[in-house]
Amino acid sequence: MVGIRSYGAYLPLYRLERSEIVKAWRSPFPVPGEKAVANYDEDSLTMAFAAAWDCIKDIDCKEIDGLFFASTTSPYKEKQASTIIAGAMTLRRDILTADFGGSLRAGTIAMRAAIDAVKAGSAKNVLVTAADLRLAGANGMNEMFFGDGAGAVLISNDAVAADFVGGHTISEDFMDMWRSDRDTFVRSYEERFVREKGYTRIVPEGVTAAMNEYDLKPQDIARFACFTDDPRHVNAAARILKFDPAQVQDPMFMTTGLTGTPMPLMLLVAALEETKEGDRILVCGYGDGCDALIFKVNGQIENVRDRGGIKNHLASKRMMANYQQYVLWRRLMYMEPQSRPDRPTISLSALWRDREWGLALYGSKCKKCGTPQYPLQRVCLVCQAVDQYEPYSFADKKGKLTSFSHDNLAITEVPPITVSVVDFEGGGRLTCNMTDREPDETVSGMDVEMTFRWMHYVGGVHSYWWKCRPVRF
Amino acid sequence: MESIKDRVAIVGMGCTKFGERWDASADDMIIEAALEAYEDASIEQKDIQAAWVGTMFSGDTGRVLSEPLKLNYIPVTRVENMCATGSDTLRNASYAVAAGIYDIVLALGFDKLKDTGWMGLGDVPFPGTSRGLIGSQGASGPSAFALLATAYFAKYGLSPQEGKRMIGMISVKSHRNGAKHPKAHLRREVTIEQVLNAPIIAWPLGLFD
Repeated sequence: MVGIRSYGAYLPLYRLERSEIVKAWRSPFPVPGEKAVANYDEDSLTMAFAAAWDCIKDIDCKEIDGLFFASTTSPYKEKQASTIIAGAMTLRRDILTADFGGSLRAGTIAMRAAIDAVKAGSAKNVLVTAADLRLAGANGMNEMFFGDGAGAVLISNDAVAADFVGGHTISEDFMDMWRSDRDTFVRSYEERFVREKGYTRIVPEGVTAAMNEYDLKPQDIARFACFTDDPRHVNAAARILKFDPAQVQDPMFMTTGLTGTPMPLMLLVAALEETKEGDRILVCGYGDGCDALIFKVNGQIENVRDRGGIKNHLASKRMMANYQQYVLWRRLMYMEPQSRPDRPTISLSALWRDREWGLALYGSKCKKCGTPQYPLQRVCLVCQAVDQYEPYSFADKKGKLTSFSHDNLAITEVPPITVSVVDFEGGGRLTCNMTDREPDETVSGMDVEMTFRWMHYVGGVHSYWWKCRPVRF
Repeated sequence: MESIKDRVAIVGMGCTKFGERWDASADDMIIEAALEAYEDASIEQKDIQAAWVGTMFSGDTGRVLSEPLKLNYIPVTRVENMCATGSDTLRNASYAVAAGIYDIVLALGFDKLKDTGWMGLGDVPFPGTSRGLIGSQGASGPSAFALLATAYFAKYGLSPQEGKRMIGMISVKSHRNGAKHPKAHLRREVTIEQVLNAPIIAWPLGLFD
């Protein structure tokens, strides 16, 4: 029986009060709540990685034979982001990787493709991860509504915790919310047209067809985890479908914002965290049509609870200082440049050669004296044994901050960089930057963990590596 | 290993005034220092049998020394070892004399940092990331030293305030020495309060640290 074997999610640490946006623009439309804002060193790829990492927390990554990345905001137009994520997780090479895009429905399209791949025997364990970092023009409604985040599910026919019952897809060319290849900001068409002829026509049609196909009534669905482009629209669709408000999975508008492509997966994860054996979850993706996918939770779900998921990420948050910080992080204004030299170009041959210790944060552990060291050392740091090492991952290790400095001089868009020396549990030390931290709260000896981040962009290449951060939960 | 004690003598020294020296090129400063050293040693340039020139940012190969001075047909080695460039230049020159290969050699160090127009020097890669340029992560030079200060405070149980005061006193002493020396770059004394209140460059190091 194909279905969901595991789940994971990610929300950025920082939140912006919508009242700060209202204040910045003296907006006549006060919108309540807060939105999740990715740090300047995060993008769709890093957030999707974080959700996928959460998803396979206690699963051997070598079992994964598919990695599907879904986003409308991939860092590359012509290069797979999925292979970068796969590389950072040290997945095997003989696997299916695919980037799904082109629609806010890409997350559920990717889920459907993963289910079909497993059903057809093309793969056994397909990790689907979706994220978006959508930009909206300043002083508009989308700026208020959008939030950043990621969701992931592992589709398998082994140790399944939520069985795939079936689904229904409608495909229709419909432009309500879109971006062309020349646009930076998402465009939206007239609101009433979008609601009446788009969302509240197509979603009920797709969901009704799915439920009829499997002989289900509204009361048979425990949670309706449905994408929405506006907090009011999902409630309108639920009313048409005769779902009770209690059945509608909270779209988290007040706490996160509308996350786009990952939204159906994130709401699915939130539902999986709360449902129990026997509950049915109806997941709905929308954009150029809709996908309605029905899952039934089974007893195995109790073995999948230990995840960051939505709950832990929601609860762990810091408020941003003000709207300007959001403008800076999203690079919406031309900032006064630092009087610092340009970065050197990145050697792609060196990047490829060193991909394991670079991208995947693998070091080595000397077989002779047992010392873990980063990066990988052919000659042991301590006993000088040559070529006697085994690979050793630092990505999943926690550590203590031995020393740090807040560097106002280093080349960065958002000074200061917090240069950090981390001593890991089990041994090994490395120097890196610290992120998701308030400089005033940094102290020697504090507990830190590693996080995969966007570093910088030089010569058309997005460079990724790891930073440490205060342990989040 | 043998010692080179009492086998080598510094017979002459020359030094430019330190500072921004906007009007002086690297060549101008090399000539200024070399001529002063020759006079101090009572030798002529043609007496020099080999030379070592230390510079990190202002050129490569020995020609950076031989071209302005017109050192004819003698071996000139360019030395670079980051902040140890100067002492390493002197060391290599000394060992050549101690080995008995040469009688008189020139060791000269120079750098023309202010011609870059940047604030401060370029970033330095983190240990281990300079190979392969994974991300080319780095931080400023001051931050690398700042890490020592933070670790020191933590190891010996100093509060940030106690620690900054302690290292600030070193700066007070250095500025007092500079004020007495006609060739120093910075010639004003500073108080400990000025040092403690100076803008932070790489915490806990401030502008005067």
